[in-house]
Amino acid sequence: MVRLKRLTVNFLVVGGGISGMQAALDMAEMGLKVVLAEATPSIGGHMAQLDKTFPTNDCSMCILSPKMVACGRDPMIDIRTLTEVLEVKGKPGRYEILLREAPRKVDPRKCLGCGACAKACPTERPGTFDEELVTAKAIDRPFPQAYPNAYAIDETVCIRCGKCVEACPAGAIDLDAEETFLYLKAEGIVWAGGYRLGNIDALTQYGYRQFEDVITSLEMERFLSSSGPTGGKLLVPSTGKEPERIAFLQCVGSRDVRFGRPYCSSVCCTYAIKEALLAKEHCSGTVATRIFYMDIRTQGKGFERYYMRAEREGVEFIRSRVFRVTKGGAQLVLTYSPETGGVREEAFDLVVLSVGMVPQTHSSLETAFPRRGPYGYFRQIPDQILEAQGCVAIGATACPRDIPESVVSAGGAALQVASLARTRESRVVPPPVRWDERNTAGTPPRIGVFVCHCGTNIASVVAVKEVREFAKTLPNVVYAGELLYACSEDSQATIQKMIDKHDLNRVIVASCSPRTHAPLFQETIHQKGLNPALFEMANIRDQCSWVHSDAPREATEKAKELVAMAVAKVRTHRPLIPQTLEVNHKALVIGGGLAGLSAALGIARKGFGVTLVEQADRLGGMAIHHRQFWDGRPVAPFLEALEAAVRGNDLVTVRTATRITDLSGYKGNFEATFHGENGETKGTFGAVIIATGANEWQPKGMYGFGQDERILTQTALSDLIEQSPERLKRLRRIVMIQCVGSRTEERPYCSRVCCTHAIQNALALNQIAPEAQIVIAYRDIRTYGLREDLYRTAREKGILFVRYDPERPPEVAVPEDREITRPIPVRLYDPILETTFEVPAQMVVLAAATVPLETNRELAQMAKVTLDPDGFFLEAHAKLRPVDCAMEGVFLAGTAQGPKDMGETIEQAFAAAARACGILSKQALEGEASVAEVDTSRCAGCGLCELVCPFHAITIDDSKQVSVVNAALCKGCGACVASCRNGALHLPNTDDAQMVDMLKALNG
Amino acid sequence: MAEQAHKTGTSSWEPRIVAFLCRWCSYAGADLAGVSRISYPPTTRVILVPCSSRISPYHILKALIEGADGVLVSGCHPGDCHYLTGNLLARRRFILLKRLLAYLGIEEARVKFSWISASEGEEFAQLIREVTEEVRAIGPFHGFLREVPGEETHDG
Repeated sequence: MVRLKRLTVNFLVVGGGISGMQAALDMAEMGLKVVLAEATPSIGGHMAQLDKTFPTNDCSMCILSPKMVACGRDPMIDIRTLTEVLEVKGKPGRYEILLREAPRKVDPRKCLGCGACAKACPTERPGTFDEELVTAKAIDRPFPQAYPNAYAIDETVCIRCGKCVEACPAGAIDLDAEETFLYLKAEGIVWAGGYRLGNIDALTQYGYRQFEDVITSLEMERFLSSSGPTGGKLLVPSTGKEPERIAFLQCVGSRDVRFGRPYCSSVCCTYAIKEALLAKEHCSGTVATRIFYMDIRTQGKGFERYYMRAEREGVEFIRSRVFRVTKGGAQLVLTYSPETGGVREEAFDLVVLSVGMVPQTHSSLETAFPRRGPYGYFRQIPDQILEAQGCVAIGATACPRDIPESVVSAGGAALQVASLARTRESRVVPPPVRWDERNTAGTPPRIGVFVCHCGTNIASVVAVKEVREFAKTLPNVVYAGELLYACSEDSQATIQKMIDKHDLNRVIVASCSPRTHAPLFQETIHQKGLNPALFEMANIRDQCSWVHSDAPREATEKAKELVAMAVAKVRTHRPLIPQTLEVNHKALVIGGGLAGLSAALGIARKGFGVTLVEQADRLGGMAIHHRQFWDGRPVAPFLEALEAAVRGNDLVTVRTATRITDLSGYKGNFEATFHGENGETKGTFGAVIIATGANEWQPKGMYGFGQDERILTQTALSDLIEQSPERLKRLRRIVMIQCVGSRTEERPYCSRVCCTHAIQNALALNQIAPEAQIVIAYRDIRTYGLREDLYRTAREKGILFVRYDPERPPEVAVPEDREITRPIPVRLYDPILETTFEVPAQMVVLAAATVPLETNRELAQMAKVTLDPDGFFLEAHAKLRPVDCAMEGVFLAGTAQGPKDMGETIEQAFAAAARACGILSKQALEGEASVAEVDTSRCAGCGLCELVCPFHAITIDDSKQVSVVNAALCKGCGACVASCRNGALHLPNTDDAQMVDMLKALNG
Repeated sequence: MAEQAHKTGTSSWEPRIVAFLCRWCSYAGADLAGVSRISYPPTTRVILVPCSSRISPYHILKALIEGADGVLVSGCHPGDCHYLTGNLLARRRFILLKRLLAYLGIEEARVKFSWISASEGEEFAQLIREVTEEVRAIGPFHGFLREVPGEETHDG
């Protein structure tokens, strides 16, 4: 019999990696129902495998795991694991999709994650999560933080011996479970298939698979991870010893025309730097790390600093492509040709191959997705934002890119599909249900304690009965009982029954971690009219029975004390009601360039009002100076269509020649003051998008800029090419100089767009004046991702690339008499030929840095957001919140946040618009339940709390000289409470007095 | 409580350590030690706080006064703080407290500050082992009052 489920949702997201998760979360925020289909047993994708993330070296799992839990908890997201798409039919707005959900054979609702089944299982298979470095059992959980946090049986290797069924204490395993087919009706599909490392078996010269000590970059991640096969110890596989010399080989299966993968994988340079830095951290002795590269491409935000840090910390960079890896004794021998010429051999203990990315394929989906990029990528093109889309490919399926770029693309796609017509109707989401609550004020605490056995997980170590009896002796405890599995459905019924029977007004569950289970029990007591804050947990499993199995006596004593502490605390808990914040359903977009226009269009198409404010008297910003997107598509017609769409939308109010003079408030309720032609006006908004852009630096005094009009910037050249190409026809020699003002001590960042921009202009010049010789003086060519094709074309066309060292930059000798006929001599030192040569140039074009606006600081202060050290706006998190600000409700789009090209700007603008729509879609927002409170009788108004609050939630009321907490902004961290010298601040239910009660209970 | 009795320094004495762990990183790291079944001595009692910046010197001193032999405060690694900069605030306060403790003649190892991330289960277990050993080596904490030789003793 075939099991078929019919479901109707708004959208289907295929792929549960970080891109897919983010797209699903952003859509759920907008109140849309999503099915998230993942082919493996857990969501998380490649990011779960990584040890740390660049450029902050944040722990990958730490930042990913809360997103996974958020996906799992969201009632709008239906996660389907082990699920693949079989067939797609229909068109945007009405798709019919058939999916197959393979049987997990383990019920995730029953599975305790105890691992007894895997212990009993006799069948081994390669562990895919650990890159097959170790074996896993046929019944397995890929990693401890997996979601669903349940084991799964790999059908293909299971021998159905039944040992796991016998071993499972929860009866969660059913070997006869069958597959399910899902027949899904959805309005749109987001495809987040992600990438895999390309197969490099044909590249035999690197010795992968031949030599054990040649590993891939992902294998390196697992070796570095503390949850990996070696527990985070970096060891040479063949010897088991710490390596002393590690080589990283870049562009393995990338930028390789003969191998059929000419494109750049975009992320490998920075991850190799990360792995080299981490290797140094992991090894006790000194370890030599050498990165063999062609161009170091650290084009992302903060990456150049990271590169500089690696150089300072002793990571060596060698510009050379290694010919081959062979074995010499116990070590590996690399043969390469250094820049200075000749052939060199060098021995290493470990060789890490930075293997290029290839997009995942999915034959049954591909019919619905037009392939717009080469090499199997499903690239997004700017024109797509002009209309709502039914199918959008995101993340590394669209082009090779890193995590923040994937997250941005996910947000953008969420909004693109979400603006399909039918979805717009139900645009405001009602707040979550609140149960009627009993008034417990004034009644003495009546505490119920429930001690969980967790099968044998707790009971085999801790004497549960003893803990229960002890709990009965504690003050205000009127009931204490045991539960076999506190989290099971029947236990919820028991807890509720006991609340009625004993008139409980406080509940304690002594079981596992409040991080994972408190919300479940809080919902249970809430249904019985108890405020969720009248609850506490004692963690007697994760932090007791599981870690003290060798000391049952002490574990029992500890469990008793943990319960005593919980009782002491919950006695004085009081009900907390999160503040309800009204939401204004309009957005404010600051800046009318490409980013601002795109964001305004995105929000308006979703059905919300937008005010677009531009300081200048026209829209378009810097984009009017650009001829083409990097792929050659013309900018002007697109910009025209975009502006027309924005101006033609009734929901958008465009205000040019207007400045913002004040901005106050918080998410849901911002108030802005405008100063424009009609004088001063005010407006209120639910969300704010900063899209103020950036400038091209005018490099006065550098390379003769400003002394001769034939020395100009790339943007000025773009304008010339567009407006008067005939003036360029007679040029014979042109020199372009890269990194003018970028990657310097003053500006230690890469401006990201200049290499591509220069090459595009060079190619255009080559068409206008085919005879002209064009020389590009560069440090590293950073045509990342699919832009590499342009670099290759330029070389094929005879454009000359000459590298320069920052110590010996090109010299431009501006002629004394400014006769237009006299060429400008440019002296270039070629480090390969070790000679200086002179080019008599008729034009010198400078790739000037992208610089932040000087007015950023003023706006940042108004919006209470932060700038990064370079003066661009700082995002809330470099990896996972790339368009959010620390100040909730304020979002970033375009170059205001950092250098990026036009396609990236548009994508980010849509991502910011999606996040803003998440707020605008809500009828009301809920604040934190536990927020700081001020006892004004004690407050001296000293202002220390105002100073320490990272969220600007506290201010001093000047008239009363006391501090005032804005509950809408407070996150309940308690930093102010601990800083107050007078004890005037309190954090309800984590208050000083409660902590002292716990300490007292601990010591009897 | 019975523990007070074997605070007199008999061989069965085990240190008692109060650990203030932040919810987002360190508490999660402690949970991971459990999920990974990494055992460590049963000497700690954890108090969950939203952020390490919630902890002031008051809590640390109060824990010692109320009978703890050692105190551990652990937060997120720099840059990982859920509340942006709370862990750095905590560190600053802690440095000041360290000097006060030294002035009071309290052994430095009784009070420890550390960063533990949500993926550092093994590191958490190792930290507890270390703290336990260090406090064990110094012995029980006898309060802030001490006998001064040759003078009349205070009666606590």
